[in-house]
Amino acid sequence: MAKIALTNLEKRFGSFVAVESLSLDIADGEFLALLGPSGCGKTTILRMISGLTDATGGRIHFGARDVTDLPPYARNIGLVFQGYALFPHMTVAQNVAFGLEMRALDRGEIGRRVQSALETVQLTGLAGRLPRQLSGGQQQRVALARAIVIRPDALLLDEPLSALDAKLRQELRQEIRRLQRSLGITTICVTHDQEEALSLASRLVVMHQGRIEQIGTPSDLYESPASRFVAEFIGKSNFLDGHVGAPDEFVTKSGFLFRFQRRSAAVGSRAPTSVGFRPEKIEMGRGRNAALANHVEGKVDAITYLGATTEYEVRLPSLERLTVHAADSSADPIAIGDNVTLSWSSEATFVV
Amino acid sequence: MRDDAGLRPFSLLSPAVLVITIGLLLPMTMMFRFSLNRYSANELMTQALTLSNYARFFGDAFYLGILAKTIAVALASTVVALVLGVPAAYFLARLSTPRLKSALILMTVVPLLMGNSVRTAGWMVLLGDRGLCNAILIFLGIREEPLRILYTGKAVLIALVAAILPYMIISLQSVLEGIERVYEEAALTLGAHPATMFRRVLLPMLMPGIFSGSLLCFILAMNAYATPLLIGGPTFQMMAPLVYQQLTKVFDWPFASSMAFVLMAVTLASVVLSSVFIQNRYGRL
Ligand SMILES: Nc1ncnc2c1ncn2[C@@H]1O[C@H](COP(=O)(O)OP(=O)(O)OP(=O)(O)O)[C@@H](O)[C@H]1O
Ligand SMILES: [Mg+2]
Repeated sequence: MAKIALTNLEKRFGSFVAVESLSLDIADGEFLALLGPSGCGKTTILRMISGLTDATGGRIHFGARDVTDLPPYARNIGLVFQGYALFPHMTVAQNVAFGLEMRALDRGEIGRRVQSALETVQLTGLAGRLPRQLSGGQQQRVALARAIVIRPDALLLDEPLSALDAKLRQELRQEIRRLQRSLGITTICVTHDQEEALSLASRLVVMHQGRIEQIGTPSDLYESPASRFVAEFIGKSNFLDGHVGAPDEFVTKSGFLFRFQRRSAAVGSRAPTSVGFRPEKIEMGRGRNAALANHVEGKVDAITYLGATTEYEVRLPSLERLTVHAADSSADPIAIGDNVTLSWSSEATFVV
Repeated sequence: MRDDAGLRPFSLLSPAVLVITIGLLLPMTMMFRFSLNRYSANELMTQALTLSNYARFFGDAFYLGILAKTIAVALASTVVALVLGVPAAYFLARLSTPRLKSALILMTVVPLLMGNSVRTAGWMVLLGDRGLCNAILIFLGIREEPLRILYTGKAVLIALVAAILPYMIISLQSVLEGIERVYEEAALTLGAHPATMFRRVLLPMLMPGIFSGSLLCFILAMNAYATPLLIGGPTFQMMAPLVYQQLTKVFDWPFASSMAFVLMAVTLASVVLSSVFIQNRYGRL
């Protein structure tokens, strides 16, 4: 267990820059999620941390130890691969014992630690099975046990749940979280599933084309996204183009005036070009809610039932469209074609 | 209704079964029958049911010596081919440029496109008393007299290894292609040095390739004809040329047949024994 520090880390493949001057500190025992669209360099970062790929620039530290030039077998990391990569010719117990045998521990100690790792992931009964005799979820647990049994400085997970179905994914997500907490391992989890990232990690890093787009807690990223990219990547958002008029007022091209309170520091000196607000922060009704700062009127165009909420498409007079998520109010149900007023607070409004 | 809608496997096999019956089983049965006959200088052979040919083979230290030498050379060349073949196959399988890979695989199999005897003649030019190697040695003053390489066991071994190596490399490479690199990487991240990774992870996963490649090479080496004939010459004899010699020079068909049968039986027995051993040791392949 250790703090991990990446300093100006860079990876080029020929002239293509896969990871560009990345600096990131991960605290001891922290659970960090690396999030981003396919090809943005997430796997490349994990591979550089584990030593499977050489960085073309920058340094990697585990605690005080500079590991940048160490081979993977000298780094003491637990890596769970995208496809698990369990050794097919070894039983579950042998797979889990492998890393301990490499550390030349004595047989008794290896046996005890394998046993306790298998207990942790609830697989004690399957120690003698071969990987091909296991279900996807069980294989995932073995991969996890194999990675944590060596007590690594860092646990690196590359899309650990992407091959599993939705229910199992949720179950294992809880398990990974519990495990990580109880062991206190510094963990980096790569995913392109935002729900997974939001529920697992204490801090999120959103990547875009080899660069960090934003770092923050799940609520930071959700409530004040630094860019349109982040806002669109995490959750759903409504956006209207325009410019900032007064210091806390945004003027859309279509002429609406919206008050905002959130202006991301990451926007910096650049003038914001869009105003954004989340679909579920909008109140929809026949009349306006005077307690809230922003209002528009429109006509309901489409209704999609989503279970817990209902999604409404509202067309504004300016022909712009907004998405609203609201609980279906059965007393006075809103139908397609109804005129409605949308209201939302200035705290729920950000400019990017 | 039948639950296997496709062709039944057996119907696909039947042409092969036909060819094997006519082309292999029939001559073999005849040969086995011949091996029980008696040699006759006047009429080639006389009908008999005797084991005297086998008794003669196993009773004569000369013939047993050649059999032992054949087995030893076949084993040694297989082992050398394996040791040389594994790194070569690994390099080929992990090559990331497809064009270079195809080119190298082609180069590996090109020797197979040439006749065995042509290749062997090449080795003779290289290894002979007045051959290229000796010319260089003498020119450089390293030796005054030519070094005896041709017609020795070493020369046969070298030439045999060269002849069977392509088969070994291709067998190993095809299995290695199917072993994803991620297993190697998993072992490395768990703390295994590359050498340990190779021994504990790659080698066991490569076992089917090692087995099939070694089998193929051992059988080829046991039955090699041109190489021991031309490179071993009269001083280093092996089984296949010996059989041929009995057949065409001495015209002792019964004895030649019995020797051919011994060679086949020994090869088959080694193959079966090693399969059983390997399956016991490493599980089903
Ligand atoms: N060996 C390589 N040679 C050249 N380019 C590479 C190599 N490995 C990765 N890349 C490129 O680097 C970029 C980042 O790849 P990476 O595998 O890190 O993406 P990722 O974020 O993990 O994507 P995914 O979510 O699809 O797994 C991609 O554009 C990829 O094409
Ligand atoms: Mg990836």
